[in-house]
Amino acid sequence: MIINKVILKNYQCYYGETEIVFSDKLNILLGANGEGKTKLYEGIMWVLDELDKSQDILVASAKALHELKVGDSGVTSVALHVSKKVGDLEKYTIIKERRYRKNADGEIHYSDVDYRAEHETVSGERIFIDDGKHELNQLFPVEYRQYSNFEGEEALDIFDTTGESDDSLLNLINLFSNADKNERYGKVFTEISNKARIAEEKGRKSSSKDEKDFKELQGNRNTTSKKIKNLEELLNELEIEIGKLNQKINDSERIVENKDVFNTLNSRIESRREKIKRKSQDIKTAYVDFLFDRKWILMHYEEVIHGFNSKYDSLNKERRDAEHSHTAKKATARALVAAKHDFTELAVNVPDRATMQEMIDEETCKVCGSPAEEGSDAYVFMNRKLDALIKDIEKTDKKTPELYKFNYLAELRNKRVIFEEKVSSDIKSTSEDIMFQFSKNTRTQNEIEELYEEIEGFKKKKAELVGSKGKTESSYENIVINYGAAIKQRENKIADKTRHKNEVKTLNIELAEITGKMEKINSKGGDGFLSLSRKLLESLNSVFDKIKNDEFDIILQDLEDRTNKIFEKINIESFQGKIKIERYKYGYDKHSVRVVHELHNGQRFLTPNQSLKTSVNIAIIMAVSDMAKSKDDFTTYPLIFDAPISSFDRDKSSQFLNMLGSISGQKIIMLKDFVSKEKGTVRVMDEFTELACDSSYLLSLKRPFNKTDLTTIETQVKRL
Amino acid sequence: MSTNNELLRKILRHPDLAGSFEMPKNINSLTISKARNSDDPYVSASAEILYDLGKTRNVNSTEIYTKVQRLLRTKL
Repeated sequence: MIINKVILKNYQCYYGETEIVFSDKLNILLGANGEGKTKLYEGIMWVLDELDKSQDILVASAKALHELKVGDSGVTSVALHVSKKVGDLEKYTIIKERRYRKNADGEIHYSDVDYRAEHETVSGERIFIDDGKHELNQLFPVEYRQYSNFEGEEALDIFDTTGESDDSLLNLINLFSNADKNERYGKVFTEISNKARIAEEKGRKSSSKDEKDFKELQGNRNTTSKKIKNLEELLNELEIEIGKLNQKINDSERIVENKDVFNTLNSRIESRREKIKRKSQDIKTAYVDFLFDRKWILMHYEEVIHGFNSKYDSLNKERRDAEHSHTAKKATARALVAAKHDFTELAVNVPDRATMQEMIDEETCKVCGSPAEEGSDAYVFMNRKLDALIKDIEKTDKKTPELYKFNYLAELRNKRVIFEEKVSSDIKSTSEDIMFQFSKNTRTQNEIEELYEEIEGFKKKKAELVGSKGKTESSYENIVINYGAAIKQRENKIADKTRHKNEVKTLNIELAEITGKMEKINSKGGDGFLSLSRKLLESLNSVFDKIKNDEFDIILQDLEDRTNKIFEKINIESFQGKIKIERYKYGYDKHSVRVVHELHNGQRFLTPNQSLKTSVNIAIIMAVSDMAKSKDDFTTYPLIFDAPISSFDRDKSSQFLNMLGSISGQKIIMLKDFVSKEKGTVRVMDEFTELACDSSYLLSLKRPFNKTDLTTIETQVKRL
Repeated sequence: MSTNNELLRKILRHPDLAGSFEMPKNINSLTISKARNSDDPYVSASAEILYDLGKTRNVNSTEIYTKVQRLLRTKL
């Protein structure tokens, strides 16, 4: 099967419709961390039914769901356009989709997953198939599918059978052999042979002494067989433990040799982690809380100001009206007083208050022109007249007092001006604060991301130093202590193994002797036919067992040959030996398969680094695909890898991909190499253009985005 | 994947059985049905077992054993 193209619709970070066309050879999809590579891989796995069912609910794009209006519905789908072989006019489409709808309460309701297919015949006729899964299984059998997709470099290690109870490689070999049939047949041959032996023993006619001896031998045989079985199981456990210790010692040796580099890398990782911790504390995302907790005054600002203004205006008008009428009233009263003095109580030419005061000061009556010295009657008269006038005026004024003693409205007006200035400055500063905080957060987030990338880089270097992951976190001192202890443990285990092996050897000799004695007693007093029959059936059983094993070994040899042929092409390591895929026995009657790196002098190479292991694993995977291709009823299938060569440096990656491109078969590879992030934008490095790949794309998130808000995340696909 | 006829030929040709019986002249075209009628106990017994195994997936080894023992009684 060849994947011609994939169309994703609102799948995870692939908002809207995204189409990616694949070539039937090497396809590379580039993308920095977190930009959508793995989601694309998962999308393809979703339609290939290789994802856990629990993932079904998570497939819809957050952005699409966010934009969905109440009552509207949408769809998430992944469609795989495939053909059975290159250039085949018959086309198939496998579609997996999930519909969703936003209810009145805002809840999203999902429909069941719809899995269907379409078949376009050579004549262009389209046939719609309800059972997409069945159609997929026809095109791409499930037993091969499990060897076609690999997420991460560690997933390729399915063949690393260094003693763990991992039978992946064994299962794989069985896939190509008659394993299932052979096991069934072998079981029947053994059962028939055992029945013949029991029949022979039962049919034996012997003396009571022979009977006693026979029973004793039977007991001894069972005890010895049991002992051998237990010891072989023990030996297997020891083999596993020694394998683990070898790995531990090899890893530790690399660290011991690279003490300074290792410590520097550790301290760099530690310092980056500290920085990340500090920077994470700087990130504030609760803008809404910030706004309402600290700037609560801005709530309903417009309404408050509007209410205040209209109240102020109406009060101000009221006050002005009141003052106006008061002033008029006062003026009327004064006019009345003046009229009273001018026309009623005072004579003609009676002077006003100021003239009166002037006359008193100058001691002269300016009405009659006579002098009025201080103390004279005229002077006293003028004073009395002035006092009467003043009293009369005050009396009038008291009758109409000031309307408003204090001007609170003016104060309110001043306060409003201050309030308005404060609020507008608050609004301005709050918006600036938020913008500042937002850009600071984005900056900090990018810095944190870069720090994580640096840590990944350091970890990668550490992994290259130690050869395997997981042990790099221990301190150097611990590693040295463990190293010494592991060497001692290994010595003890090897001594135990030698001792047990000798014990098994002795017990097997004992068992053969016991069996010989039993056969002698049987042949002495037994039924000749039963004895012949037992011998015949035993030899048929033994021959069938050998044929079964030979067949298995032929498949193993075929896989080994194909693997080495591919490995020779893609090997970019200094290791120049061969890959052995060998069978080993464990327990009493079990066997499994393991990968061994063998040097030209026949010695085992015990310290393969991660990139060598990866190259070997990829060679095996491609050899399996090659074997499948040579089977009559099956043509080809794609190999899909997500970040398979993360332990390779850039030079190695380029070389490796160029080599991989020269091997036939469809390969779809997602890589984080060859891209750089500069000022937040993703760029493809120049080295990539020199690679000989047939189809390539860049996956990157649409900027700007907020990592903490999935509704802003959208991956864009650009053909390179 | 070997057919049962091929498997029978593989068994009879196996070096471990060399000398135990006379190799049938038509071994290259020998089939299970022909071999079941052979007078040789090795040829007929192995053919009988493979014949039963090829009939169904769920075979009963006791039944096969009984049948083969009966067959061998006449030939051994």
